Amino acid sequence: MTKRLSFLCILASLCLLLFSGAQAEVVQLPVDDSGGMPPLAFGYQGDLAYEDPTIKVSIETGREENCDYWIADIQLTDPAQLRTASAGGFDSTMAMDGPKLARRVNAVLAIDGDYFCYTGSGYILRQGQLYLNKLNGDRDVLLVDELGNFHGRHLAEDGSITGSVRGRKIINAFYFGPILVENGEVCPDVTGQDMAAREKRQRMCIAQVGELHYKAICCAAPARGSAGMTLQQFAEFVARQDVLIAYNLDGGDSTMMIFQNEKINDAKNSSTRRICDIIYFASAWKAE
Amino acid sequence: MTANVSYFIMMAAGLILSFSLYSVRLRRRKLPAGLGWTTLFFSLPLGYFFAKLIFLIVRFKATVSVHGLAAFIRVLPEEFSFVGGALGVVLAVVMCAKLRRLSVPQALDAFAPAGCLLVAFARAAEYFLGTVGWGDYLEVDLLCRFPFAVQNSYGEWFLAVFTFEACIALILFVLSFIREGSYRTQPGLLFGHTAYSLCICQVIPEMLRAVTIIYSFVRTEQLICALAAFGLLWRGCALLSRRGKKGAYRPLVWMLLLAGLNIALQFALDKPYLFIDPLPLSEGARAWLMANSADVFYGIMVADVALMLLLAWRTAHALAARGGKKSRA
Repeated sequence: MTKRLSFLCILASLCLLLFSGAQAEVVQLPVDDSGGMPPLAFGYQGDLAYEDPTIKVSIETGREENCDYWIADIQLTDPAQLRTASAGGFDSTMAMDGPKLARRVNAVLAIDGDYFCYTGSGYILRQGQLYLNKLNGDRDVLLVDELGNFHGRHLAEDGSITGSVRGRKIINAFYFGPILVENGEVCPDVTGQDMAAREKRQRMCIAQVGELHYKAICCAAPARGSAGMTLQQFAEFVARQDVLIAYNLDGGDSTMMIFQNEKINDAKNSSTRRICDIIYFASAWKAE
Repeated sequence: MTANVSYFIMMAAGLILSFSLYSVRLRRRKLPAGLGWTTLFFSLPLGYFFAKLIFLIVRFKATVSVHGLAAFIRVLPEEFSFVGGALGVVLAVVMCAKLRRLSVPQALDAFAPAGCLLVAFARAAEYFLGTVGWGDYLEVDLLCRFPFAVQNSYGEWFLAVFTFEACIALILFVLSFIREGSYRTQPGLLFGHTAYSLCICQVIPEMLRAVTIIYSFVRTEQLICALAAFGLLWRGCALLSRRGKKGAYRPLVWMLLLAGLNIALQFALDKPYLFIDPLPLSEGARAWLMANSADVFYGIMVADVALMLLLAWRTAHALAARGGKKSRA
């Protein structure tokens, strides 16, 4: 009787395994403009966390130096899950609401990018395609290679970036800066590239913690009970979050952390500025 | 047929129709009809030149410094200024009338409805130019259909701003015919009032556009339109003043105040909390206002634009009346 019961249990488990195998699978996301896999409804754990077999996101909020902050911790299984998207193409100046853009590409978590369409110069390389290579040594550049590793280039000069770094193809590059943290230490010259460095502002950065492990960190505006942060304050705060490298992105009212297709930072501010691009983390788990 | 070919066909149709109308209207004013076709010939290069020039000046860093002078011959839909193109066409009208030693105000008046028709065609043709005439992402089902909205390859609907701009131009086209009789006493008035109305009506659509020429957060096309409208009203006020009207410049002062309100509203749309937080309101009212700030501020902006149109209407009628007195005298 016990043997028969055990046999039935094993059979049932095998069926379940086969059944679940037919239901979902990990897909390799292509390096192009397509989006990620739609997040699973049951992957959300409360309002500030998501997990499926390919991505784990948890968001922490708090207050430091009289300013609210949001820290998203993201762990991926494949570098292609770190992606970028634009409102109308990376050769267009079109802008739209960030949450709508995040919804378009099935982002699990998205943040605003570097507002590439505004500067007119820089190194615009997104999803493996180069759109502009016009550097003039006035800003730091962040390069993300095909393994999802971050590489900073201080005040990159024209021709100094060739499309690969340490033999790895660059998949995405950002031109805003400055680099806030390098090798876990605050960079000595974070206030040198202006970016309203000495003003207390709303700020956003993307950081790498380890292999396929990232953080997106932002602080609130100097309004609604928060003080905002200077760039130096922000860099020091980011460095305390155990990151290896962190890069400053577009801030002010463009600062956007989007989760479940909603802007979660500074939610009391009804105004959502239209933005050109987002950096997002996508699921690669395909449910039937 | 590719989208760009469709665009050029539609623009060619618009040019032929509007300049045919211009020629007919010239003949009716006892001016040589051939002037219309000469003007068309000159308006093409001038329109291109100014549309490119304004774009390149504003976006110099992203264009000329990257592509050099080749930026001037890059035919990309996003790399032209609509207002610059319109300016080039109007300059062609002025230049051709001057070259033939004809009355420039008469030629401009003859061109006013034709110009509106051309603007209507050019705006409608933006349908073929990708995201150029698109506005905000739409979620209201009722509006998610052509011609109110256009759909992208992701199945998302965006407000078709070009449709509204084409409709405005068509309304002004009709109005220019209606106004013509009463404005006959003052040559140039029909054109001035029509151009002013077109410029002022550009304020809100320019706010709605997702693709616009921005220089340091300033919508350049909107700014040029506002300056042109201010210049036209100034000229109207100066003419009234010359004819002895007391307080002739009062509309100009009002326009400056309304323009100031408009600028404040644009800031308020971007940072509503800066304007709403200091207001002495209850918590409930403040929360409601924050949640509906865009609707409220756009509502005020529509009223602001309507008042600016009213200013020009009153000035134009005063001018028409005074012009009439002068001609009878």
